Amino acid sequence: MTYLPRRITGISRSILCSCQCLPRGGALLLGVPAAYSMAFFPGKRTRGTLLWMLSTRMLPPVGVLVPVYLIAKSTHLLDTVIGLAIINMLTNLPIIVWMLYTFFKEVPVPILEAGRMDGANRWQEISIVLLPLALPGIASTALLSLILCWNEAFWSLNLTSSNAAPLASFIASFSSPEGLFFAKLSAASTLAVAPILIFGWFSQKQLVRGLTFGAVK
Amino acid sequence: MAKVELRDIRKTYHAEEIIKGVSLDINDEDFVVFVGPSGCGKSTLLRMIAGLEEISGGDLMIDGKRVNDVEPAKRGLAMVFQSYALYPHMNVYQNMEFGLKLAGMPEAERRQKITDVAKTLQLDTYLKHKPGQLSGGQRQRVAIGRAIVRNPKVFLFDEPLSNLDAALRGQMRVELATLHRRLKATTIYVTHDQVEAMTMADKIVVLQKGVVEQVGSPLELYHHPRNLFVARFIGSPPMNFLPVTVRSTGTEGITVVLDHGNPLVVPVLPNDTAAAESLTLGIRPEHIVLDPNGEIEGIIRMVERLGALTLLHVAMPDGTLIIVQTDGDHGGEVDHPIRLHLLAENCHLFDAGGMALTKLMRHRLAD
Repeated sequence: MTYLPRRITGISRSILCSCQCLPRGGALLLGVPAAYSMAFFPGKRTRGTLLWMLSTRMLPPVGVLVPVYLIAKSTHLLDTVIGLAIINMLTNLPIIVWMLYTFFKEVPVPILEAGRMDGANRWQEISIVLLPLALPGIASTALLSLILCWNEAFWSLNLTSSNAAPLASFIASFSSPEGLFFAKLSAASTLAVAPILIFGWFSQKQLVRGLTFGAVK
Repeated sequence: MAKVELRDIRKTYHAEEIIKGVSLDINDEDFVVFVGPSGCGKSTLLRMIAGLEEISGGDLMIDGKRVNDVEPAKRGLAMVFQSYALYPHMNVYQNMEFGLKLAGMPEAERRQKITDVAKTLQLDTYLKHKPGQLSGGQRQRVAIGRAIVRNPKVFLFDEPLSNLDAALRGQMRVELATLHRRLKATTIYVTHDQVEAMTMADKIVVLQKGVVEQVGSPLELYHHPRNLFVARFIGSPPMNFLPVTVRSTGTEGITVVLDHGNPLVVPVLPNDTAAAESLTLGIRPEHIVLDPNGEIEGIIRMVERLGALTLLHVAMPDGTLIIVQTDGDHGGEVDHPIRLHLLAENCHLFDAGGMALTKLMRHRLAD
């Protein structure tokens, strides 16, 4: 029974981390303008930038573990919720930009131009015209990165110990030098899977649309 | 309401000039149509006037004021797009209201305006519908309504009818012309369809590869094309072209000889045309008549019966195909020989550079 409070704080931290790094932390806030400019005002380097962003996802995270750890340490972000949120946000940003980019590409340009002719400034063009049109895409992007953040284990295990440990670290703690606690491990894992499973069930239509949108007409 | 002037307007994309210095005066209340084959720059030119495309060189003046660097919404224009470009998440009312709202018009005034416009466009029962629930013609009317409510100085239309089926296109053409007569607003209309251009325009601007080939009234372009390109582009079925040789010149025109035919006196100014020079003779299908004593002979290769008229595709001895328009009751049969007479007063002559020689007589409706 001693682990119950730890479990609860672990869950709440997981929720905090996966939520905070998304809408609050600003991955979307950074991602929307980035995707907007790349989709509608492509320059010479847009293609290259997009590929570079994707390439950061191909790098095994362990390759940058030492520098990231050192940066986190020197900025006192080690084992803090905000530190983990920043890392999760940055690792997900490329995927978010890519997804939003493909969704925005599907929005017919004349509709945005009509907005411009009607007198909308850049911000109104994005908020009143573009975002409502891309809403399904934005929702599925948000959902996907929520799942990715929730499942994220590598950075949670390496950058947190007790103060900011989310569910992943908590579950991992059952495999300790004292032995494997299979029962507790199983219970905790099931619990960890449940919210995403339920969430995913309700939103599977959006999610699939999001993942395959633009692939086929 | 407004006068639009283009002064040596240029557009450069990646070091390639696609609009090569267009100068044009569009008078108040004019209905001007930009027409040309795809890729001629007509849409780019319209988008430059709208402010959606940057102007690389020259001056764009609206009512005497240079507006090159003025934002689209502040130029006092409204545009109707080819794809309608309605806001799909807003209903018809909100679509029309959007621009007025951004301009800060009070609610009551907006409502009044939209109700009025919706009534004239027969959209009053659809105000609560989303664009997705409307037919193509209704969407088009919403797009036009959205332009009208803003009370613009100039209307811009970018191929607005090309997404409609043929019957609806004919109907909308009449509606647009009626609307223009009622609103009396300066209108610039882009199309690749020369029928739309001929039927609606006060003034047609024919463009090719970013250059204005000719500006004039529909019948001026039809009867007095300035060069081969305009002659070929305006008119359907298109003008026929035959190679001819000059025999002599005189005050009554130029006497030319067809390859396998008799001489023909075409009433044009000879200028410095010399005997034995090669020219191109242009003649419209309706100006060729069937005549047993006609000067040229050919073989019917195809018969297109349109009901009221019949089009005969006739092969000349040298293999050139020409189209002859005759009445619907003509019983022409494929592979039969036929003799034709060219109405000389309706012929056009083009020099080696493709420029038309000036006709001695102006058509009475051309000016």
